[in-house]
Amino acid sequence: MLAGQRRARMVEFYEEETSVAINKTYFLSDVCQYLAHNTMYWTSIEYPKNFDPLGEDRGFLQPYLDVLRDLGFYDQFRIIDLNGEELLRYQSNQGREMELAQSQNKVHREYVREGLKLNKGEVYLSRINLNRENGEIERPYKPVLRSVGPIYDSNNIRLGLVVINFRMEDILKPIVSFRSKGNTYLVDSDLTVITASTTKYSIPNEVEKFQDSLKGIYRLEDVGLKNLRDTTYISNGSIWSLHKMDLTKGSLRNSAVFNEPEAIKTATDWAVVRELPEEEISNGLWPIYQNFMVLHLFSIIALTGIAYGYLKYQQTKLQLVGELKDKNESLVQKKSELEMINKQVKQSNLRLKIRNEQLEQFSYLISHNLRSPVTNMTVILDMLKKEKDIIGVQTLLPKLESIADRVTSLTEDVRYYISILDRNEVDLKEIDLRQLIEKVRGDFSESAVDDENFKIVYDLKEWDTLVFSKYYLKSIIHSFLANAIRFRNKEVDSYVIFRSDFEKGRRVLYVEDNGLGFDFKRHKHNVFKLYRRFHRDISGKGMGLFLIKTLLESLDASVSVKSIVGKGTIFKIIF
Amino acid sequence: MSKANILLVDDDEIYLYLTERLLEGISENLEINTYTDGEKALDYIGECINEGNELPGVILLDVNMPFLDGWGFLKEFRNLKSKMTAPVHIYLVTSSERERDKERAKEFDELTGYVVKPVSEDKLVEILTAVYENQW
Repeated sequence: MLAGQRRARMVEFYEEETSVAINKTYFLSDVCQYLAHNTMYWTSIEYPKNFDPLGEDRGFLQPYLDVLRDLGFYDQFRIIDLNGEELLRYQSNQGREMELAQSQNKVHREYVREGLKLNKGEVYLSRINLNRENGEIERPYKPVLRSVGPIYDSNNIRLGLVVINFRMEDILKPIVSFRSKGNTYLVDSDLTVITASTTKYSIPNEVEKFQDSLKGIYRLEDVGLKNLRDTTYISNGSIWSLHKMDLTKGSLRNSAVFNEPEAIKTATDWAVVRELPEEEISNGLWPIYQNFMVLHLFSIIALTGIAYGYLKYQQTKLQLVGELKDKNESLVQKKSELEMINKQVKQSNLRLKIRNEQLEQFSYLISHNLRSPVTNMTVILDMLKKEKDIIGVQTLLPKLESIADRVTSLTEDVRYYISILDRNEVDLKEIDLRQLIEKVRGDFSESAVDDENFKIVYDLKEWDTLVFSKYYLKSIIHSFLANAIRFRNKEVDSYVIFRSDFEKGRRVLYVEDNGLGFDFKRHKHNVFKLYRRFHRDISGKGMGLFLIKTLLESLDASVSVKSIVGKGTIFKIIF
Repeated sequence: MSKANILLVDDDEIYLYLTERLLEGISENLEINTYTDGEKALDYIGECINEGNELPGVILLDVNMPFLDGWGFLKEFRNLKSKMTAPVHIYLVTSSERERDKERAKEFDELTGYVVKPVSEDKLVEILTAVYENQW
């Protein structure tokens, strides 16, 4: 009976040790998955072309660095180019906030060489070892794991690598603690001990002059383990149970927070080894040799202890996983905020580009047109100097008057253009389009728009309100109506139709008339340019369409036109 | 000896008046025509071709004009070249010293030269000599 009880108790020990080891590998798998997912975040960003993080792209990077500053589990964040040179080195300063540091060349480091072999979407996890700076182990000892992923620019050109050093001290602790009896070891592929409950040091083989209470165990090969094959057995009276970490298992595996990496490559495999020493086994078996009651009492106490330890371990695991998930969610939120900011910056850049082009075209024409009268004056003054005949002088003087008139007219155009662009009334409001057109219609003399032969037609079924600058839109509608009236075809009943529509989710307004039209093929590139006219017999300055385009583009709208001589003109505005 | 035919195309009527007056002072042996935009000037050249009249030997062409600008004129002039029986020397005359305009001018083989205003009497003599040698 005793032998049967002893055998049953040993089976229980086997099962307990196996179960504890497996659970701890799940925890480690969760951590590795999280670190890989975290790295994927940085690889999924579209970096600027010829990315220069400390130079002209500092503005792009700064918001990301601001986010990183508060992430305590990052020890270093680096961008490394294809030659192994660090373009950016952002590291924690003795446990305080992260800050920029002197770049180093890392071309000979294994994680850089392996990182450069990665394909898009793949992540590489290094061995866990003590952090080194310039070849020297950093003090106090700091176990780190480096996670590496390739980064690309917006043209999908590979720029280099992102390398993150994660602090592993707090992650390694729960793997080897929370167990009342027996020892736990975390080992890599060649059975080298990374951390153990028997030592206060992580990576003991890297610690100088390591003196360990457990006979200086650096590797576990002497206890009968040969490789990382899952096993549980007895050696020298102790139960040994080894279980390899499997990255395809763990609760984070199906997380929807980040894109799954295409593959996670690791420099090594990891395994958790449990040791239940002979002494502990004897202690566990001793009650069998005592009376039945004592045996059961001891078993209950032992099981309670195990259950308590296991419960505490589970709680810690859940707490850590919870914290990691919170940090993930925080990163996702920051990412969407950054994307929003990027979008706004791009939009502002586009507006500034358009405004610059407008101003450039305007200043070119104005300087050109102002220079013409000046050069004419130069020629006239030369002629006046040489002119001896009073009649000749008298014919030249009126030309100077004409030049003065022209300069005055140009100055007036500049003043008008600047007054429109400088208006502060660009606050955006919801506008009832029909009401606005009716109001503008009132600006024209009755004879112009109330004529039975000229109709304003509304076809605003798709939409009839929009958010825009009321002042700008009033000027735009005024110009369209003025053109439709000025270039009406007197041979037919004239009309102008305002028709609303949607295109790819944007509001579109068509302004169509049946006026004189113009030679579209000949003038299509110049329609919206300043001082362009298309009808010789009808007066005009050639400013209206230029201003329409300027005002629309300054608020992200666009305008295009088609026209047929004798049939009419149709403008298309996309808001 | 027939008169040298000069065509001035510019929307600046004072410039046209002054340049015409300068040319008249240089030689009496010039026939000068003026147009205020590229469209009218092209119509005139089309008429010369259709009616077999003498084409202008020199055109002083402005860039910025309403209706049809200098660049538009050059593009459409290119289509008429095959029908021309005599060379036409076009000088682009502009107030602009903008590099972009000078670069664009190089794209047109039809252009003989690029002149920045003001167009002095000396410059006009230089152009006439280059085109007609001393036959004016």
